[in-house]
Amino acid sequence: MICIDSVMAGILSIPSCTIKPGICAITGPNGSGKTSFLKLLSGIIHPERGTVIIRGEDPDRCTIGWVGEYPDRNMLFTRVYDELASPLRFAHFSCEEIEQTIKTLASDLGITHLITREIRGLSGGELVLVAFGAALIAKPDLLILDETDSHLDDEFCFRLDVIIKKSNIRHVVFSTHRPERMATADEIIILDEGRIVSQISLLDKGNREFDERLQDPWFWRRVYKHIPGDS
Amino acid sequence: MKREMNRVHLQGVVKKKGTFTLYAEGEFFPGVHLITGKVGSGKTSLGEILAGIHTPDEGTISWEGNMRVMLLQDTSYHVTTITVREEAASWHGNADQIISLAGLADKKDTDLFSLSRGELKRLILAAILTGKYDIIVLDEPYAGLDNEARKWVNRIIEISENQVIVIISHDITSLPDVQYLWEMDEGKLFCIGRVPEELKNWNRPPPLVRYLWRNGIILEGLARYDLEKAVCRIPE
Repeated sequence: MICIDSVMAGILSIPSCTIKPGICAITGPNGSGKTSFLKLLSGIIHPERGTVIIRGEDPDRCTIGWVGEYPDRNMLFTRVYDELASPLRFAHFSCEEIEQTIKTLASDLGITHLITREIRGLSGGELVLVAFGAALIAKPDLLILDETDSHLDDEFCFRLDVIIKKSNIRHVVFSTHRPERMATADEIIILDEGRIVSQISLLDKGNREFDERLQDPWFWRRVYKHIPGDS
Repeated sequence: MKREMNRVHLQGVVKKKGTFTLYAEGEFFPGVHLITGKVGSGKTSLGEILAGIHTPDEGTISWEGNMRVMLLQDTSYHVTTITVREEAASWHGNADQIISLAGLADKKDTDLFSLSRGELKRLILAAILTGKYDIIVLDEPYAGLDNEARKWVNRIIEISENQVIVIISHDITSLPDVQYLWEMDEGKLFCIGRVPEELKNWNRPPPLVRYLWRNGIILEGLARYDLEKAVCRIPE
């Protein structure tokens, strides 16, 4: 559980919010505070007032994975292996452990063939997968995706959905403008001018608040159910 | 004097980048073109060639008619100044028009990098779309934009005249009225043809289009309102 209580942070003003374990989508107009909200959850910005607690801990004490819109901009190393290894090396894992973990993770992500490559020269999609690898390798308490979907096609997003489901991470929070992506979440938080204007559960079908079909996550679930992504 | 028609013409274009090779052939006439394709299929590389940033290794590209070409890349590549006011003034004259079109009148002195992603994108798009360019290549124009901003971009695109506008996007639910559809597939450019007549030849249509076809619904176009109309016809 993520609990936000009486928070004031930059443009954000959140009296109270609870996010259950699972996948949560954050949406809202430009400048509504989506990225600020994600930074708040990850401990990158601290609230001026109030508290954020993730599974009983302060965000600073949690392991957070972050993948942004341009994943390569957060990369620190020049080789894929070093980038994947970095969170474990910083945590003083042994070389054998690191090697084993990378092997398993790379195979899960389908990037075994990239391990020895340089980051430079990877395609956009390959960069996203490597960034996912670096975010997942430390088994984060919370995985954050900040509009990672904005340059990705549907099939690629389906592939990431499978990776996320398989990773068993307790909390995944992603920001998006695309209703079809929100369809993959368990709940949706809608922000406007730094405030939460709506929090909708998609676990319970009775809860429909979308008038236009193309804006309705339930409609998109229908589309994706009938059309598998791998065709 | 009759004004010559703007046109971009690619003949046997080949561009190599590591193990990736791009092949492109075709003519881009005035109107709105959509280029779709999977991640890594070469859409962005093609955009850079169309805009003249990269020259082909083989073949030729020619820009006929007027030659004012503009490419929308990732917005941070466009930033050359500090504030909104300075950035707007660095374009083509009417800074106030750009700022008000972008809806940033109350943020004139704001540092560009403290704008939200969508706000910076609106500023750059406003500068590009009011710049009277003859060929505009928009690489992922909708990324980072909310619904209102997407409609705003499309309104400006739809009133343009005699311009070749190329939209590179995988996001097909926010489009303006598109006249020509192209597809990149593993580095090769395919001309699918005029919209809506040739839509049926789309090799890799996105899930929504496949779902509509399965329900026997024929699309009258790719604009947002065409899709809204089409999804309303799906039986409950």
